[in-house]
Amino acid sequence: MTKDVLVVKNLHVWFPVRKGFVEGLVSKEQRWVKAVDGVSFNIKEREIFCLVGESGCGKTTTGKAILRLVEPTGGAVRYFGKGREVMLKEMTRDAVAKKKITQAQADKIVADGGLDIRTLPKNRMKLMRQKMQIIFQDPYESLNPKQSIYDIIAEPLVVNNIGKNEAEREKRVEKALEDAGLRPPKDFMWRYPHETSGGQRQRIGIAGALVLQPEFLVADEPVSMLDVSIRSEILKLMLDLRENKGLSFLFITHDLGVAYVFSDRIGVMYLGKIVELGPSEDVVKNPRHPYTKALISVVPKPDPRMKTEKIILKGERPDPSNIPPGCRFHPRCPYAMDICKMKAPEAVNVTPEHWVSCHLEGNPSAPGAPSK
Amino acid sequence: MALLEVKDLRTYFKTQEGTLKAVDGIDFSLDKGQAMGLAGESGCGKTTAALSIMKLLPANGYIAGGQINFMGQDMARVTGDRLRAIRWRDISIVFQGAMNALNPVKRVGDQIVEPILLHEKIDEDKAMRRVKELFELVGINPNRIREYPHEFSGGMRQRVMIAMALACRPRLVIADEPTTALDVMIQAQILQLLKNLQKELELAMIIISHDLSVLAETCDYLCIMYAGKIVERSTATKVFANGQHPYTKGLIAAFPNIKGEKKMPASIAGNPPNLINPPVGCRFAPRCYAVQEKCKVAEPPLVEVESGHWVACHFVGNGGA
Repeated sequence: MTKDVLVVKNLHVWFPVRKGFVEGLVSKEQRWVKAVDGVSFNIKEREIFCLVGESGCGKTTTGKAILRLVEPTGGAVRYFGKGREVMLKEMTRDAVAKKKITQAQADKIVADGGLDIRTLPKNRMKLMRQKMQIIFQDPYESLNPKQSIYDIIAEPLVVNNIGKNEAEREKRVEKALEDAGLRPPKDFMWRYPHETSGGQRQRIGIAGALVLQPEFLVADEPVSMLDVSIRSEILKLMLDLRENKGLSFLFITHDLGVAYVFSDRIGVMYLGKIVELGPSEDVVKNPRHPYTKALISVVPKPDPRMKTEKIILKGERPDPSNIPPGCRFHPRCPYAMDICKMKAPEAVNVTPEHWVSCHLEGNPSAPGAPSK
Repeated sequence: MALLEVKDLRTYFKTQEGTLKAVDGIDFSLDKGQAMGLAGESGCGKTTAALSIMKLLPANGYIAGGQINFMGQDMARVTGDRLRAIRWRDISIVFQGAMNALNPVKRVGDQIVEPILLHEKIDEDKAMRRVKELFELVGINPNRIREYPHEFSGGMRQRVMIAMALACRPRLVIADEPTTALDVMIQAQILQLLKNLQKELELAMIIISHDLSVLAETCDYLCIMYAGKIVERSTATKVFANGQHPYTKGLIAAFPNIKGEKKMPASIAGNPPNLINPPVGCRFAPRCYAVQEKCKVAEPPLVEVESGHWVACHFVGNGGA
């Protein structure tokens, strides 16, 4: 049994809706955009965990909330990676010095507790981010065109005051470029982003994340802007990093096809909640939630002979400021029953590793119930 | 006679470093009601080929040779008012990144009515009625014609763009990466819409995409482009069932197959060549897994390996060594 690196419990990110002047007079009630509304999952050591869903379902917000690039409004994010031990020791030493806790209590916290990212003060969060990094979606927009590649990748070192002098930084930048597959690094270091191709740009983004030697990476749609022919090279690079550096990944994508071949486990998100979660193979080959089934059916097949029945859902991105009552998916669900409009479904285990929250599960009389 | 016949089209760009041969001699033809896919990586010239047909090239681009026969005239040579009369009336285009192609300060209805009033002698009321019909056709509530683009979501904006392309009842619609910025679910909706429209209106369509699976779902006919040339051309079924060119095979293998077993798809190593100084011989040779001495010297011609199936490779069909 491998250890968890990250445990996310009941994470909430709600954004307040600003009211107009008149509305402010009429109603006192504060409305919220519930981008992430109670998401729980764990990521094991050396695991690639994938969040799949349509745009606007809250998957990117979840990733950012874990790194506190947006502040979560509720729930806990506990980090169990190696980096936390040093920090926990430091923090408990401070607390012991101030006589808030005893040494025995401090040792216990260090031994078994994860580090709650949410409650870390700003300066410690900055240290923590050296261990947790993010790769952004669009390599065409996320690199500063006026900076050389060296400057882009060395910036995190400068910000975090790592490396005594320029020569040491240069060495680390070289190493990061090499790890990201840009070889020989000397060729790339003094170029500008426009002198590289799309795939190379994404590798620069990855090198920028690697230069701090993190343990955990959030990869937000790292391949969706790239040509199909080079996608798998970037994916393979990430697999190599896991193999050689023991990295864990939270991989965010809207493409179930990529999620299926690349990740160990998949969580399917809809409107701020995970509706189904399980090992990739189980979720794709034995989907239980109608939404998962629909997502799988619309993945384009690279063969005109494979004509499959498509479940094309009507309408699009539902409004997270006005979440339907009961099951959030019921207005678009082809099998919606009366109970779906009133009661939110609980998570039901299909296998110990695979769960789904849908009223159809375990209800064999329902129309469209999944056959066992 | 074919609706569109492109013969040996060459489109070049003048740049500081030299002449960039973005499209370097391509041939294809398209019949009424047929959908053709142009596939290839970014920078292979597929968009340039489409813009050449529309004569919408940027200032430094020019058609250096070849013919584009469209309904009895050579689009490569048509200019001025005659060109303006054809453009959007007979050929229209759904631009790449349609999300940003609409004018944000104009109501969508007014934007669509513009080409109708320009091309046809009808009054505004009638034209507006046509816009409402178009909205219904593409699946938007006709009451929304007075809204602004920001009130529409991405998928809906794409539908508005399609309605605009259909405004003057064109014979040929070019769709440049129609679903690239969209989610899978919206992508499925848009692809279904394009397919239905094509059948209902007997449209000829050119769909451009780097995503072969999108083309597999919509096109009857496929052209695979690499570095400004067509390397394989056939019906969609044949290309997928019996793709012959190593590049085609690589592209097909690059897809994660959700129906198959869980394994990483293959990739094509390397980058497309610089088109200012393309390599001698076969342009795909530096990235090809089956490369031989011959490939680095002689350029393979596009030959017919079976009826209607053309491949440009030294090692397939009659061109085989």
